[in-house]
Amino acid sequence: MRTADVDRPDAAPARTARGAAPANERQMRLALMQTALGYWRSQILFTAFQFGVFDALAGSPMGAESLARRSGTSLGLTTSLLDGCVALGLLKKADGRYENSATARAFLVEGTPQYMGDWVRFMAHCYEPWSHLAETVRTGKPTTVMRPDAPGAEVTTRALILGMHDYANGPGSEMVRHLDLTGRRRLLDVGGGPGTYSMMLVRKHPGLSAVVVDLPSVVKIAAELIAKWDLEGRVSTRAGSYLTDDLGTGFDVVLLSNMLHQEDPEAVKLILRKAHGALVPGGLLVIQAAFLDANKAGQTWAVLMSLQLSLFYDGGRNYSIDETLAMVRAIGFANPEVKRMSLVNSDSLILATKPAP
Amino acid sequence: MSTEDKIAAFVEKMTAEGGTKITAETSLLDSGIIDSTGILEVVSFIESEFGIRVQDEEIVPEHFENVRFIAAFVESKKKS
Repeated sequence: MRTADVDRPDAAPARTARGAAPANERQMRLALMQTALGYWRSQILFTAFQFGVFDALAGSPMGAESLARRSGTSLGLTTSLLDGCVALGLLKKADGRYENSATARAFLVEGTPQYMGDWVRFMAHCYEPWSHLAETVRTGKPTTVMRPDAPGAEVTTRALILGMHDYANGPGSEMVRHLDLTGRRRLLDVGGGPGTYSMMLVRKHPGLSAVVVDLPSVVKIAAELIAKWDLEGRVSTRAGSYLTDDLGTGFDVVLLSNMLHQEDPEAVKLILRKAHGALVPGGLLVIQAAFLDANKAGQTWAVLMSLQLSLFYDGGRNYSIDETLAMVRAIGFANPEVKRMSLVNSDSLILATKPAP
Repeated sequence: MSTEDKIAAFVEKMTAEGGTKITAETSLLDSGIIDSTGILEVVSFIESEFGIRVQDEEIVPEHFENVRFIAAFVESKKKS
Protein backbone atom coordinates (compact mmCIF):
# COMPACT_ATOMS: atom_id res chain seq x y z
CA MET A 1 0.00 0.00 0.00
CA ARG A 2 1.33 3.41 -0.90
CA THR A 3 1.74 5.86 1.93
CA ALA A 4 -0.77 8.27 0.44
CA ASP A 5 -3.40 5.54 0.48
CA VAL A 6 -3.21 4.84 4.18
CA ASP A 7 -5.70 7.51 5.13
CA ARG A 8 -7.80 7.46 2.03
CA PRO A 9 -7.88 3.95 0.61
CA ASP A 10 -10.43 5.01 -1.98
CA ALA A 11 -8.53 8.08 -3.02
CA ALA A 12 -6.72 7.55 -6.26
CA PRO A 13 -5.87 4.97 -8.85
CA ALA A 14 -2.41 3.47 -8.31
CA ARG A 15 0.35 5.05 -10.33
CA THR A 16 1.19 2.85 -13.26
CA ALA A 17 4.73 1.54 -13.54
CA ARG A 18 5.59 3.70 -16.53
CA GLY A 19 3.10 6.54 -16.17
CA ALA A 20 3.70 9.91 -14.55
CA ALA A 21 2.06 10.71 -11.23
CA PRO A 22 -1.55 11.65 -11.91
CA ALA A 23 -2.48 15.22 -11.13
CA ASN A 24 -4.45 14.23 -8.05
CA GLU A 25 -1.42 12.43 -6.63
CA ARG A 26 0.65 15.59 -7.04
CA GLN A 27 -2.06 17.45 -5.15
CA MET A 28 -2.09 14.83 -2.42
CA ARG A 29 1.67 15.07 -2.02
CA LEU A 30 1.48 18.86 -1.85
CA ALA A 31 -1.30 18.72 0.74
CA LEU A 32 0.75 16.26 2.81
CA MET A 33 3.81 18.49 2.65
CA GLN A 34 1.82 21.57 3.59
CA THR A 35 0.50 19.72 6.63
CA ALA A 36 4.00 18.62 7.65
CA LEU A 37 5.41 22.12 7.18
CA GLY A 38 2.57 24.06 8.77
CA TYR A 39 4.65 25.09 11.80
CA TRP A 40 7.23 26.85 9.60
CA ARG A 41 4.60 29.40 8.75
CA SER A 42 3.30 29.69 12.32
CA GLN A 43 6.76 30.30 13.73
CA ILE A 44 7.64 32.99 11.19
CA LEU A 45 4.43 34.83 12.07
CA PHE A 46 4.85 34.37 15.84
CA THR A 47 8.49 35.46 15.80
CA ALA A 48 7.91 38.55 13.67
CA PHE A 49 4.98 39.42 15.90
CA GLN A 50 7.04 38.89 19.05
CA PHE A 51 9.70 41.30 17.78
CA GLY A 52 7.04 43.92 17.07
CA VAL A 53 7.71 43.98 13.33
CA PHE A 54 4.15 44.84 12.28
CA ASP A 55 3.72 47.68 14.77
CA ALA A 56 7.15 49.03 13.82
CA LEU A 57 6.10 49.10 10.18
CA ALA A 58 2.74 50.76 10.86
CA GLY A 59 4.23 54.08 9.78
CA SER A 60 6.72 54.19 6.96
CA PRO A 61 8.73 51.38 5.32
CA MET A 62 11.96 50.42 7.09
CA GLY A 63 15.15 48.56 6.24
CA ALA A 64 16.20 45.35 7.98
CA GLU A 65 18.99 47.20 9.78
CA SER A 66 16.62 49.60 11.56
CA LEU A 67 14.28 46.77 12.49
CA ALA A 68 17.16 44.61 13.80
CA ARG A 69 18.49 47.53 15.85
CA ARG A 70 15.01 48.20 17.22
CA SER A 71 14.44 44.62 18.34
CA GLY A 72 18.06 43.89 19.30
CA THR A 73 18.32 40.97 16.89
CA SER A 74 20.99 39.82 14.45
CA LEU A 75 20.95 41.64 11.13
CA GLY A 76 21.45 38.56 8.98
CA LEU A 77 18.64 36.50 10.41
CA THR A 78 16.32 39.45 10.94
CA THR A 79 16.62 39.94 7.19
CA SER A 80 15.79 36.26 6.63
CA LEU A 81 12.82 36.49 8.97
CA LEU A 82 11.51 39.58 7.20
CA ASP A 83 11.98 37.89 3.83
CA GLY A 84 10.05 34.91 5.21
CA CYS A 85 7.23 37.31 6.09
CA VAL A 86 7.34 38.64 2.53
CA ALA A 87 7.09 35.07 1.20
CA LEU A 88 4.03 34.48 3.40
CA GLY A 89 2.33 37.68 2.28
CA LEU A 90 2.66 39.37 5.66
CA LEU A 91 5.10 42.04 4.43
CA LYS A 92 6.05 43.60 1.11
CA LYS A 93 9.60 44.42 0.06
CA ALA A 94 10.75 47.14 -2.33
CA ASP A 95 14.24 48.62 -2.74
CA GLY A 96 15.46 46.65 0.26
CA ARG A 97 12.84 48.18 2.54
CA TYR A 98 9.92 46.40 4.15
CA GLU A 99 6.31 47.49 4.63
CA ASN A 100 3.19 45.84 6.01
CA SER A 101 1.00 43.92 3.55
CA ALA A 102 -2.74 44.53 3.48
CA THR A 103 -3.16 41.53 5.84
CA ALA A 104 -0.72 42.94 8.37
CA ARG A 105 -2.24 46.42 8.14
CA ALA A 106 -5.76 45.06 8.71
CA PHE A 107 -5.10 42.55 11.49
CA LEU A 108 -1.63 42.83 13.02
CA VAL A 109 -1.16 46.50 13.85
CA GLU A 110 -2.26 47.35 17.36
CA GLY A 111 -5.23 49.69 17.53
CA THR A 112 -6.78 48.71 14.20
CA PRO A 113 -10.50 47.86 14.41
CA GLN A 114 -9.99 44.27 13.26
CA TYR A 115 -6.88 43.64 15.37
CA MET A 116 -6.06 39.92 15.77
CA GLY A 117 -2.67 40.38 17.44
CA ASP A 118 -3.75 39.18 20.89
CA TRP A 119 -5.20 36.07 19.30
CA VAL A 120 -1.94 35.49 17.41
CA ARG A 121 -0.06 35.95 20.70
CA PHE A 122 -2.30 33.35 22.36
CA MET A 123 -1.74 30.90 19.50
CA ALA A 124 2.00 31.42 19.98
CA HIS A 125 1.48 30.40 23.64
CA CYS A 126 -0.25 27.23 22.41
CA TYR A 127 2.76 26.16 20.37
CA GLU A 128 4.58 24.65 23.32
CA PRO A 129 1.64 22.50 24.56
CA TRP A 130 1.13 21.28 20.98
CA SER A 131 4.69 19.96 21.06
CA HIS A 132 3.49 17.63 23.87
CA LEU A 133 0.64 16.16 21.84
CA ALA A 134 2.25 12.71 21.80
CA GLU A 135 2.57 12.70 25.59
CA THR A 136 -1.02 13.90 26.00
CA VAL A 137 -2.31 11.21 23.66
CA ARG A 138 -0.25 8.57 25.48
CA THR A 139 -1.50 9.47 28.97
CA GLY A 140 -4.90 10.92 28.13
CA LYS A 141 -4.03 13.93 30.29
CA PRO A 142 -2.81 17.42 29.44
CA THR A 143 0.81 18.18 30.29
CA THR A 144 -0.05 21.83 31.03
CA VAL A 145 -3.45 22.45 32.57
CA MET A 146 -4.71 25.97 31.94
CA ARG A 147 -5.57 27.50 35.30
CA PRO A 148 -6.17 31.21 34.79
CA ASP A 149 -5.91 31.85 38.53
CA ALA A 150 -2.70 29.90 39.14
CA PRO A 151 0.35 31.88 40.28
CA GLY A 152 2.45 32.83 37.28
CA ALA A 153 -0.43 32.35 34.84
CA GLU A 154 -1.03 36.10 34.38
CA VAL A 155 0.73 36.40 31.02
CA THR A 156 -0.97 33.37 29.47
CA THR A 157 -4.36 34.32 30.94
CA ARG A 158 -4.08 37.82 29.56
CA ALA A 159 -3.07 36.49 26.15
CA LEU A 160 -5.98 34.02 26.22
CA ILE A 161 -8.63 36.52 27.31
CA LEU A 162 -7.51 39.34 25.00
CA GLY A 163 -7.20 36.77 22.21
CA MET A 164 -10.77 35.69 22.84
CA HIS A 165 -11.80 39.35 22.75
CA ASP A 166 -10.17 39.82 19.33
CA TYR A 167 -11.86 36.68 18.09
CA ALA A 168 -15.31 37.56 19.42
CA ASN A 169 -15.08 41.14 18.19
CA GLY A 170 -13.91 39.97 14.75
CA PRO A 171 -14.95 36.65 13.24
CA GLY A 172 -17.18 35.79 16.22
CA SER A 173 -19.30 38.93 16.04
CA GLU A 174 -21.69 37.34 13.56
CA MET A 175 -23.69 35.67 16.35
CA VAL A 176 -25.01 39.07 17.42
CA ARG A 177 -26.82 39.37 14.07
CA HIS A 178 -28.43 35.94 14.52
CA LEU A 179 -29.63 36.48 18.06
CA ASP A 180 -32.84 38.41 18.68
CA LEU A 181 -33.11 39.18 22.38
CA THR A 182 -35.85 41.79 22.04
CA GLY A 183 -37.83 42.01 25.27
CA ARG A 184 -35.20 40.18 27.35
CA ARG A 185 -33.74 42.20 30.19
CA ARG A 186 -31.07 40.26 32.07
CA LEU A 187 -28.36 38.12 30.50
CA LEU A 188 -25.95 35.87 32.38
CA ASP A 189 -22.71 35.24 30.49
CA VAL A 190 -21.28 32.10 32.13
CA GLY A 191 -17.55 31.66 31.74
CA GLY A 192 -17.83 34.80 29.63
CA GLY A 193 -14.08 35.52 29.54
CA PRO A 194 -13.55 39.02 28.15
CA GLY A 195 -17.34 39.65 28.13
CA THR A 196 -17.23 40.72 24.49
CA TYR A 197 -20.46 38.94 23.51
CA SER A 198 -22.29 40.54 26.45
CA MET A 199 -20.99 43.94 25.37
CA MET A 200 -22.00 43.46 21.75
CA LEU A 201 -25.44 42.11 22.74
CA VAL A 202 -26.28 44.98 25.12
CA ARG A 203 -25.19 47.44 22.45
CA LYS A 204 -27.67 45.83 20.07
CA HIS A 205 -30.51 45.61 22.63
CA PRO A 206 -31.02 48.87 24.56
CA GLY A 207 -33.17 47.23 27.27
CA LEU A 208 -30.66 44.48 28.06
CA SER A 209 -28.05 44.31 30.81
CA ALA A 210 -25.53 41.54 31.37
CA VAL A 211 -23.47 39.89 34.10
CA VAL A 212 -20.21 38.18 33.16
CA VAL A 213 -19.22 35.37 35.52
CA ASP A 214 -15.67 34.06 35.41
CA LEU A 215 -12.61 33.51 37.58
CA PRO A 216 -11.22 36.56 39.45
CA SER A 217 -8.17 37.00 37.20
CA VAL A 218 -10.41 36.80 34.13
CA VAL A 219 -13.14 39.22 35.17
CA LYS A 220 -10.43 41.74 36.05
CA ILE A 221 -9.53 41.84 32.36
CA ALA A 222 -13.21 41.83 31.34
CA ALA A 223 -13.77 44.87 33.58
CA GLU A 224 -10.98 46.73 31.75
CA LEU A 225 -12.58 45.98 28.39
CA ILE A 226 -16.06 46.95 29.63
CA ALA A 227 -14.65 50.29 30.78
CA LYS A 228 -12.88 50.74 27.45
CA TRP A 229 -16.19 50.19 25.64
CA ASP A 230 -17.91 52.56 28.09
CA LEU A 231 -20.49 49.97 29.15
CA GLU A 232 -19.93 49.88 32.93
CA GLY A 233 -23.59 50.74 33.58
CA ARG A 234 -24.87 47.81 31.55
CA VAL A 235 -22.36 45.00 31.79
CA SER A 236 -21.09 43.97 35.21
CA THR A 237 -18.75 41.21 36.30
CA ARG A 238 -18.91 38.66 39.08
CA ALA A 239 -15.86 36.68 40.16
CA GLY A 240 -16.60 33.03 40.71
CA SER A 241 -16.44 29.49 39.43
CA TYR A 242 -19.31 28.30 37.31
CA LEU A 243 -18.70 24.80 38.66
CA THR A 244 -18.74 25.47 42.38
CA ASP A 245 -20.47 28.84 42.89
CA ASP A 246 -24.14 29.73 42.74
CA LEU A 247 -25.06 31.36 39.43
CA GLY A 248 -28.02 33.28 40.79
CA THR A 249 -31.61 33.40 39.50
CA GLY A 250 -34.00 35.55 37.51
CA PHE A 251 -32.13 35.73 34.22
CA ASP A 252 -33.94 35.95 30.87
CA VAL A 253 -30.96 34.65 28.92
CA VAL A 254 -28.02 32.42 29.80
CA LEU A 255 -25.14 32.52 27.34
CA LEU A 256 -22.65 29.64 27.24
CA SER A 257 -20.25 30.73 24.53
CA ASN A 258 -17.29 28.54 23.71
CA MET A 259 -16.83 27.42 27.29
CA LEU A 260 -18.53 24.01 27.60
CA HIS A 261 -15.59 22.69 25.58
CA GLN A 262 -13.34 23.19 28.60
CA GLU A 263 -15.22 20.49 30.47
CA ASP A 264 -16.01 16.78 30.37
CA PRO A 265 -19.62 15.62 29.81
CA GLU A 266 -20.43 15.37 33.54
CA ALA A 267 -19.36 18.96 34.13
CA VAL A 268 -21.25 20.08 31.02
CA LYS A 269 -24.43 18.55 32.45
CA LEU A 270 -23.79 20.29 35.76
CA ILE A 271 -23.38 23.66 34.01
CA LEU A 272 -26.56 23.11 31.97
CA ARG A 273 -28.45 22.24 35.16
CA LYS A 274 -27.18 25.43 36.81
CA ALA A 275 -28.08 27.46 33.71
CA HIS A 276 -31.59 25.99 33.90
CA GLY A 277 -31.80 27.04 37.55
CA ALA A 278 -30.63 30.58 36.77
CA LEU A 279 -33.28 31.16 34.09
CA VAL A 280 -36.83 32.43 34.58
CA PRO A 281 -39.56 30.24 33.02
CA GLY A 282 -39.54 31.03 29.30
CA GLY A 283 -35.90 32.05 29.60
CA LEU A 284 -33.53 31.39 26.72
CA LEU A 285 -30.43 29.23 26.77
CA VAL A 286 -27.86 30.15 24.10
CA ILE A 287 -24.93 27.85 23.43
CA GLN A 288 -22.31 28.96 20.95
CA ALA A 289 -19.65 26.44 19.96
CA ALA A 290 -17.66 24.90 17.14
CA PHE A 291 -19.66 21.69 16.96
CA LEU A 292 -18.23 18.49 15.59
CA ASP A 293 -19.95 16.58 12.80
CA ALA A 294 -21.91 13.51 13.90
CA ASN A 295 -18.93 11.22 13.16
CA LYS A 296 -16.67 13.65 15.09
CA ALA A 297 -14.07 13.75 12.29
CA GLY A 298 -15.26 17.10 10.84
CA GLN A 299 -15.38 20.05 10.52
CA THR A 300 -11.64 20.53 10.41
CA TRP A 301 -11.53 23.59 12.68
CA ALA A 302 -13.71 21.94 15.34
CA VAL A 303 -11.73 18.69 15.26
CA LEU A 304 -8.32 20.36 15.53
CA MET A 305 -9.56 22.72 18.21
CA SER A 306 -10.87 19.74 20.16
CA LEU A 307 -7.31 18.38 20.25
CA GLN A 308 -6.01 21.75 21.38
CA LEU A 309 -8.58 21.78 24.20
CA SER A 310 -7.35 18.38 25.36
CA LEU A 311 -3.86 19.88 25.65
CA PHE A 312 -5.10 22.45 28.19
CA TYR A 313 -8.16 21.07 29.92
CA ASP A 314 -8.48 17.68 31.57
CA GLY A 315 -11.57 16.28 29.86
CA GLY A 316 -11.88 19.27 27.51
CA ARG A 317 -13.17 18.61 24.01
CA ASN A 318 -15.60 19.83 21.38
CA TYR A 319 -19.01 18.17 21.26
CA SER A 320 -21.23 17.25 18.34
CA ILE A 321 -24.58 18.92 17.83
CA ASP A 322 -26.38 15.65 18.61
CA GLU A 323 -24.50 15.13 21.88
CA THR A 324 -25.20 18.70 22.94
CA LEU A 325 -28.88 18.51 22.02
CA ALA A 326 -29.24 15.28 23.98
CA MET A 327 -27.74 16.88 27.10
CA VAL A 328 -29.85 20.04 26.69
CA ARG A 329 -33.04 17.95 26.43
CA ALA A 330 -32.05 15.69 29.33
CA ILE A 331 -31.74 18.71 31.63
CA GLY A 332 -35.29 19.78 30.75
CA PHE A 333 -34.91 22.49 28.14
CA ALA A 334 -37.59 22.61 25.44
CA ASN A 335 -37.65 23.33 21.71
CA PRO A 336 -33.90 23.18 21.09
CA GLU A 337 -33.04 24.76 17.76
CA VAL A 338 -29.75 24.72 15.87
CA LYS A 339 -28.80 27.93 14.10
CA ARG A 340 -26.00 27.65 11.60
CA MET A 341 -24.31 30.89 10.75
CA SER A 342 -22.38 31.76 7.60
CA LEU A 343 -20.03 29.11 6.26
CA VAL A 344 -17.00 31.23 7.15
CA ASN A 345 -18.01 30.98 10.80
CA SER A 346 -16.92 27.73 12.44
CA ASP A 347 -19.33 28.27 15.33
CA SER A 348 -23.04 27.47 15.42
CA LEU A 349 -25.71 28.31 17.96
CA ILE A 350 -28.07 26.07 19.89
CA LEU A 351 -31.06 27.87 21.38
CA ALA A 352 -33.46 26.27 23.85
CA THR A 353 -36.14 27.46 26.25
CA LYS A 354 -36.79 26.75 29.89
CA PRO A 355 -40.44 25.72 29.87
CA ALA A 356 -42.95 27.20 32.25
CA PRO A 357 -43.63 24.81 35.16
CA MET B 1 -17.94 26.74 -20.62
CA SER B 2 -21.04 27.48 -18.56
CA THR B 3 -20.94 29.07 -15.12
CA GLU B 4 -21.80 25.69 -13.61
CA ASP B 5 -19.03 23.91 -15.52
CA LYS B 6 -16.42 26.48 -14.49
CA ILE B 7 -17.36 26.19 -10.83
CA ALA B 8 -17.48 22.37 -10.96
CA ALA B 9 -14.03 22.27 -12.59
CA PHE B 10 -12.62 24.53 -9.87
CA VAL B 11 -14.14 22.49 -7.05
CA GLU B 12 -12.83 19.26 -8.53
CA LYS B 13 -9.36 20.76 -8.80
CA MET B 14 -9.29 22.03 -5.22
CA THR B 15 -10.21 18.73 -3.59
CA ALA B 16 -7.05 16.91 -2.62
CA GLU B 17 -8.75 13.56 -3.08
CA GLY B 18 -9.15 14.26 -6.77
CA GLY B 19 -10.97 11.59 -8.73
CA THR B 20 -14.26 12.81 -7.20
CA LYS B 21 -16.64 13.64 -10.02
CA ILE B 22 -18.60 16.69 -9.02
CA THR B 23 -22.04 17.04 -10.54
CA ALA B 24 -24.23 20.11 -10.23
CA GLU B 25 -26.19 18.46 -7.43
CA THR B 26 -23.35 16.88 -5.45
CA SER B 27 -23.66 18.14 -1.88
CA LEU B 28 -20.39 19.93 -1.19
CA LEU B 29 -20.97 20.69 2.48
CA ASP B 30 -22.58 17.61 4.01
CA SER B 31 -20.34 15.26 2.06
CA GLY B 32 -17.31 17.13 3.34
CA ILE B 33 -16.03 17.77 -0.19
CA ILE B 34 -15.60 21.37 0.92
CA ASP B 35 -14.85 22.17 4.52
CA SER B 36 -15.76 25.53 6.01
CA THR B 37 -12.13 26.55 5.53
CA GLY B 38 -12.22 25.58 1.85
CA ILE B 39 -15.32 27.62 1.13
CA LEU B 40 -13.27 30.81 1.04
CA GLU B 41 -11.29 29.43 -1.89
CA VAL B 42 -14.54 28.98 -3.78
CA VAL B 43 -15.62 32.49 -2.79
CA SER B 44 -12.42 34.10 -4.04
CA PHE B 45 -12.61 32.02 -7.23
CA ILE B 46 -16.13 33.18 -8.09
CA GLU B 47 -15.23 36.77 -7.13
CA SER B 48 -12.28 36.90 -9.51
CA GLU B 49 -13.76 34.69 -12.25
CA PHE B 50 -17.15 36.42 -12.44
CA GLY B 51 -16.26 39.91 -11.20
CA ILE B 52 -18.65 39.89 -8.24
CA ARG B 53 -18.21 40.85 -4.59
CA VAL B 54 -19.49 38.39 -1.98
CA GLN B 55 -20.36 39.62 1.53
CA ASP B 56 -19.73 37.40 4.58
CA GLU B 57 -23.46 37.17 5.29
CA GLU B 58 -24.04 35.77 1.79
CA ILE B 59 -21.74 32.82 2.46
CA VAL B 60 -24.56 30.57 3.64
CA PRO B 61 -25.56 26.97 2.76
CA GLU B 62 -28.45 28.26 0.64
CA HIS B 63 -25.87 29.70 -1.77
CA PHE B 64 -23.07 27.14 -1.48
CA GLU B 65 -24.67 23.74 -0.93
CA ASN B 66 -23.87 22.54 -4.44
CA VAL B 67 -22.51 23.76 -7.77
CA ARG B 68 -26.01 24.55 -9.11
CA PHE B 69 -26.78 26.77 -6.10
CA ILE B 70 -23.42 28.53 -6.43
CA ALA B 71 -24.01 29.14 -10.14
CA ALA B 72 -27.51 30.52 -9.45
CA PHE B 73 -26.05 32.78 -6.76
CA VAL B 74 -23.35 34.00 -9.18
CA GLU B 75 -25.97 34.75 -11.85
CA SER B 76 -28.15 36.68 -9.38
CA LYS B 77 -25.11 38.68 -8.22
CA LYS B 78 -24.14 39.50 -11.79
CA LYS B 79 -27.62 40.91 -12.44
CA SER B 80 -27.72 43.01 -9.27
